[in-house]
Amino acid sequence: MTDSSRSVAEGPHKTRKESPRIGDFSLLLLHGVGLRAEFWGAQIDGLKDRYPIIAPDLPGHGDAAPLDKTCPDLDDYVESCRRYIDRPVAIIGHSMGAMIGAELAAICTEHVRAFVSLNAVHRRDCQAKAAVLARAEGLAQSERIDPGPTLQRWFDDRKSAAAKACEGWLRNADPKGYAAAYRVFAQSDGPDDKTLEGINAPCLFITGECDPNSTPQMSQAMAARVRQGSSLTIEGAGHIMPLTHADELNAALACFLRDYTQ
Amino acid sequence: MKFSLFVHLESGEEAGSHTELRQEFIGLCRLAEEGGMHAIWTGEHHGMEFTISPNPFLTIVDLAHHTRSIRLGTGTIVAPFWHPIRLAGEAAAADLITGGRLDLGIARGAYNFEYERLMPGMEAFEAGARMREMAPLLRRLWQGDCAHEGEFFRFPETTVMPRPVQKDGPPIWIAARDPDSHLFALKNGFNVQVTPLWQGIEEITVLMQRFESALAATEVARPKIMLLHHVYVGANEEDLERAAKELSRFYCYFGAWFANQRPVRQGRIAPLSQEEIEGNQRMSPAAMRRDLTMGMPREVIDRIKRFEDMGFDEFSFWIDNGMSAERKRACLQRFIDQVMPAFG
Repeated sequence: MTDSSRSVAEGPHKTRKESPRIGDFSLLLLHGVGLRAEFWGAQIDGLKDRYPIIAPDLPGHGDAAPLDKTCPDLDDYVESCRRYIDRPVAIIGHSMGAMIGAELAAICTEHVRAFVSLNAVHRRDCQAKAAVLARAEGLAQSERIDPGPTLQRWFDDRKSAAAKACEGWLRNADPKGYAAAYRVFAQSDGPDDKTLEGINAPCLFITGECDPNSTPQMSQAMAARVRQGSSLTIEGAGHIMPLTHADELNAALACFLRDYTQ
Repeated sequence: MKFSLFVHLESGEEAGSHTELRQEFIGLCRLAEEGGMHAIWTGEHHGMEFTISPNPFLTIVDLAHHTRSIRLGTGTIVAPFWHPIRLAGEAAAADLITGGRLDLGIARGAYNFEYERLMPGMEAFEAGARMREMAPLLRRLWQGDCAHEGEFFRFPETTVMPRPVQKDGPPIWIAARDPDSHLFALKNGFNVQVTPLWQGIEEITVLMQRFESALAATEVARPKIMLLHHVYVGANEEDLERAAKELSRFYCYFGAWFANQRPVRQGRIAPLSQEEIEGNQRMSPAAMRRDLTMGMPREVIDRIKRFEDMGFDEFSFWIDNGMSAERKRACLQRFIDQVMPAFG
């Protein structure tokens, strides 16, 4: 377990105590399946001087308790994260965190100042749908997590620091929490039109050029659906863009938050 | 990487006569050509001594007679102040007079000070809409027999005269910032100019991301993209420190013109006090030193190499900075002698 960023994020479900006051809102960072708050280390480092940051572990991940249900659905995760939106926030969600974030942005219109979706899915094609459901089924059957296939999908270079960090998080994940979240991730097809049209806040949809399951076309389609949306594609980036392309991503986040939340 | 000079007549702290300013301006442009730069860009501004250039085509025609082959670009035409037939015609005439050296940069404009004088009541949104309606008409007007019924313009079949010298007319460049304007430029086969103004690598990264994303979305052939940024190549550290202060002052005035809240008399904005300048944290000398393309030659080379790696085709040296003519000239000379040779 890498604990370096936890000291910055002050553990699950906590805000940094000495909050800077540049923006009049906090950042709510929602990670994806199998990961934990530490996933956001580079974004926390890059943005902590400008915004207060809330980086929780998703239920059943990191140090957070699992949801009190055998088969939770997306709404359960959304409801669980809703408690962080007791103040103005900009939501930044990655992958499943972006699914949750989109729903929150559509529900909590009063408090959500901006929404950034990273490496998110939207209307997978049949093949991708079948593949992700098969992966969810496989996880439900197994007692322990084999991070091999996931890392294979995420990284060209399994020896990179980002790959090693992810490997550590995946190995230490709770198999039940992981499988429950993956099932929800696989069954959801990303925000539907009603959700996207319900978001009032400015939105930015970013994905990596080399993320086969969260394509630039998906990001463009979502950006076209929301009231105020734009999309960005980060060259050469794959699914774990927040770790592998932190500088490019942090620049995009900083400029968007500055320009679109006046 | 191609290099160009982005330059206007501008009043300094103690401005000389405009006759002198013009001579100094021509001198800088000639130095740019002799130094091997690819182009000179000059823009359109009204009623301000801060940037003096009521019609860039006049300036370009003037420069055509004082230079030999360097390309001459408008950086930029303010779209909402023009009618497409007039713009296409004057651009074609400038292309003819310069012997096909014209590049045509177009933007929606930025200063409310100008909007409220030339187009009272117009919102920035309409300025953008006018640009989007006008720019795609230019090539059609050069091709001839172009009729148009639009939101802002309508005219029966028209062929502008003279014919431009360059095949298909002068290349068109759009000053882009938001993702939509990048998309607009790419969909229409225009080149792109971006400027982060006083901001640095973070903003530049994002401007390039928007260009790349628009490229991925449109799947058109990649046009050219130019980065416009203030440059200062220091003679030594003290010189750099002084330049950072001068650029900080320049951007404080830029901000004051942009905010459009101070009185303007005889084309000059009410002077900023020392406290106002020093109190502007965003434009502090340290911020200038950090974010602009400033440094000793090695540092400037490294910074521009990074822009080259990011995919910029042209780097435009913005030299309007409120400094004396001597300091501008010396800095441009250092850039030519010590920075440009590092780029093949």
